[in-house]
Amino acid sequence: MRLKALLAIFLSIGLALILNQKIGDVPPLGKFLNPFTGFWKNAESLTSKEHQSFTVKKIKNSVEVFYDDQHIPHITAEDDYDLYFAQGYITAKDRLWQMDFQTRYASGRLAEVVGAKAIPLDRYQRRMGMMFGAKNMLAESMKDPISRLILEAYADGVNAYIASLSPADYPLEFKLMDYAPEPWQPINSALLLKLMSATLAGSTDELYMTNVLKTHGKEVADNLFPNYPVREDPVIPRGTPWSFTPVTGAKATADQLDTRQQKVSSSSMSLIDQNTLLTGDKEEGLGSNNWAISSARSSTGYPMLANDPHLSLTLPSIWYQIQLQPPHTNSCGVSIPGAPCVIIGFNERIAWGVTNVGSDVLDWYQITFKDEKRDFYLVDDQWKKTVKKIEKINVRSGTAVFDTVYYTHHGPISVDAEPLDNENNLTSKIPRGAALKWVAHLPSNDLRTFYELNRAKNYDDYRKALLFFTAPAQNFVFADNQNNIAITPNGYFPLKSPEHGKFILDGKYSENDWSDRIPAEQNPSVKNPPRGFVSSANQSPVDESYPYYLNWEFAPYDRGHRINERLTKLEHATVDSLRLLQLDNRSVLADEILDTLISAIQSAVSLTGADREVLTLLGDWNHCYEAKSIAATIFERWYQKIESELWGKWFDKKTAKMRYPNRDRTVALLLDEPNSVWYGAQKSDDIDARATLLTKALREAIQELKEKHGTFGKNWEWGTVNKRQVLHLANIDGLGSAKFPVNGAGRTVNAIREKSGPSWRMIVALGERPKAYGILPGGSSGNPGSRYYDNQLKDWIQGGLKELLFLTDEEGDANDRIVSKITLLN
Amino acid sequence: MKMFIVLCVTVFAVQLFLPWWTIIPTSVIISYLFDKQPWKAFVICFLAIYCVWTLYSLYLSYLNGHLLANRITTLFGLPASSFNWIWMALISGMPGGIVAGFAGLSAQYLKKAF
Repeated sequence: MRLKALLAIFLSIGLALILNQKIGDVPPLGKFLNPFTGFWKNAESLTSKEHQSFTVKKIKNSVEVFYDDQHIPHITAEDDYDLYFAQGYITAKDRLWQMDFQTRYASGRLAEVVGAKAIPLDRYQRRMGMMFGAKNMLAESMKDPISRLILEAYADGVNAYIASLSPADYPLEFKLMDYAPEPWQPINSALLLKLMSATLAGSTDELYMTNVLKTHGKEVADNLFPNYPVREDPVIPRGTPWSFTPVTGAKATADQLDTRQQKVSSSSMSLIDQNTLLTGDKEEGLGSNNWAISSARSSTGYPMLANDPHLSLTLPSIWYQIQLQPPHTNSCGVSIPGAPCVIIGFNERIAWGVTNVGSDVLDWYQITFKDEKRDFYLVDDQWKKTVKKIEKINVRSGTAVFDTVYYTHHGPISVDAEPLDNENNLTSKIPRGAALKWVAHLPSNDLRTFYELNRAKNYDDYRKALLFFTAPAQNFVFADNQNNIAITPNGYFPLKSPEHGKFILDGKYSENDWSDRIPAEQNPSVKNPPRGFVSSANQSPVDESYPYYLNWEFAPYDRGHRINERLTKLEHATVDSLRLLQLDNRSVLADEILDTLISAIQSAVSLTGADREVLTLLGDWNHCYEAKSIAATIFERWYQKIESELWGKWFDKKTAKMRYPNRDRTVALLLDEPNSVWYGAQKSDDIDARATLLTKALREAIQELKEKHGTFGKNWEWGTVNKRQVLHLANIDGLGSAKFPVNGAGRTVNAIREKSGPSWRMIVALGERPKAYGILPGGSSGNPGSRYYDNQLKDWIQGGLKELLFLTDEEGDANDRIVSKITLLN
Repeated sequence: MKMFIVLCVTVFAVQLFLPWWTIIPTSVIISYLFDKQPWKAFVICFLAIYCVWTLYSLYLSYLNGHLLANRITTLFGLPASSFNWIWMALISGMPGGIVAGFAGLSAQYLKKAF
């Protein structure tokens, strides 16, 4: 009997121990399934609207937080500390897991919670110097009493919320992954801004471009990859005069760079080819739109402003809507969960928004080490010392892996083929790696820009606020209720001579280094241009008359051009006219080339009846990427096939690691160079190589569509072929959205792509008091068990907007859209 | 029946404050206080904890409009459906039930051994 008793109790305890553990990806079932502490606790009641109050220690006065019918918090506090404390507290209440996960992701600490599978990613983030950049930013920000105050207050608020939690209250994902939140530090806010830099200013083509140069020579590189876009409709309208005297100081002249680059391109490139630690490809559509129209174009007599930043679409949403009401200001819009202030929004008098500037702020330097110890590297015939940093990556299993990262004066050697295991070290075979110079590593105080914009009263305040901003450079659009509109491509732009950083740079020569920046007040800017609107869509900020070099390539012409084309015709605009422009699905590419493509192959003898039917369908198409359009699907596939047929054999992406010329250049070739050698005429009697190529591409496109989607018909519709889905941030099944068909494509104004798109659509009509509208592809809450997790998604898909509640100081819960209230008591 | 009711009430009260595994000592003690055949003790403990967990789950899920339970079943690999919450509630009582069952069983053997 004793044996049986022992056996039974062992079984009971043993099972409990097993069910208390996460095994593989299965959560600890005992903990997870029990309704007292497990996931059921996160199933929020649909009807709970009660008013709550919590006592927190550090605030000076009580803070009131009103939630509206969209669960958007409106915070009223009496001073800055209390305000940002409350912002931290309230944001954590909705988004704690997202904040924790994103900072772990940024700092290379995911393996601690998800295990060994995250080691390569963690190693990558550390080798990109994410923490290095965040530390530099924090050190600089902490010198500024205001930035220090808001960062510390925010962290105190988050920590007060974390301290109030028992494990039963943890957000769902902590329970799924079986770990606990850790205290929040100001550096985490810096890491989140670094993450924005990584997303928006972290792409690089230098390796591909260097391989292009090496394979095809300078003439081809210049012709197919020109230093200013072939077609451009720049952010600052052409012909706007520059009212400053440019400084000089870009060290390397174009000629010097030329010879240096040739040297690098002929040196041992294989070392970089082997590598897997590369930053992402430039991704089209991962940009944004913004514009402001003057009172002359609007129906209200005041300016209007619109912004839709295109980022990864995830649940929880990237942005967190909030209104902040400290004394002397009242700002509203979206914030980054994990950082203080409103990032995109408006206050009583002004509105502002941002889109990314694709300036070249990330360069690679080929480093010549003295020997395999890599203690010294060569610069101007002198040996400079590297700084070694040992990165310890803790793994969930309790083990740790170590990685040595070498820092030069540029930045870390991100790229080398050294294995993680130092016993097997292959460094003898790899004497050199490339060092990363990146604007995201520079000391900066970017949050101060948003603190100032939140309080800005007029154009001058806006201009002053921008001086604090470093990275990722943004087109800051502005409108106020004193009838001003403006736009400023703004950030830290290194002073570069043309082509500086287009290819991998040789680190042996200090004249290749970044020396200084374009003076912040000489960053391009325009106020109240005669055309009555300002706009940006990630295209080149300037025309060729700007005295400084920013980059050789920007986002393609299409979106920017389309927006300007429509704004030029806009009169008596209402909020709805701007909404319809945000939803514009017209393909500028089709406008420009489709007729030429069709007529180029129309006369080809080899066309079959079926081919001609397809051409008729394309000819009748309205050039809009609507979910119901079959022509859109065919055109898109055809164009992709044209690009790969045209460039694939010359610029092999996979083995030779090259890239294709960009779309603008491709379009120019298709339209203006019908006899170009690049069509690859095989025989001398192949008189129309272009038509041959286009026909082949069309056939392949049709064949591929048939294979993937069956015979021609409804299942070829754009929305059916390209069903979209908003995935969970950690890609956990069930926590993302269902799949849905939707209008729009990466190259249209409504830039919805497979995984990215308008992460926030906002329109503000300025006036005595502003009236604003906005929508998220998700919701306010980060809890998958809340109805506010994705309650805005349906309207977002349909292109709707919701009026944003903008409380006045006195109003509080007297407003009938307020449904509940939280009071933080001191 | 008496043991079942006593167990349900006690487990519910204890669980509101203490971690889930406290169902082990709770089941051992309550089972010890009653004279039952070992297999009956197993069944009663299993059913009591299973019922408390499942019914409380159902209650929370009802208040939530079953939003979360339907998501979690998708996470566990079931095709999406708006009735999946039923499965989630039915599974939820299992771990607690089995652990408590063996705990209750051990108490009866222990009693007989001394």
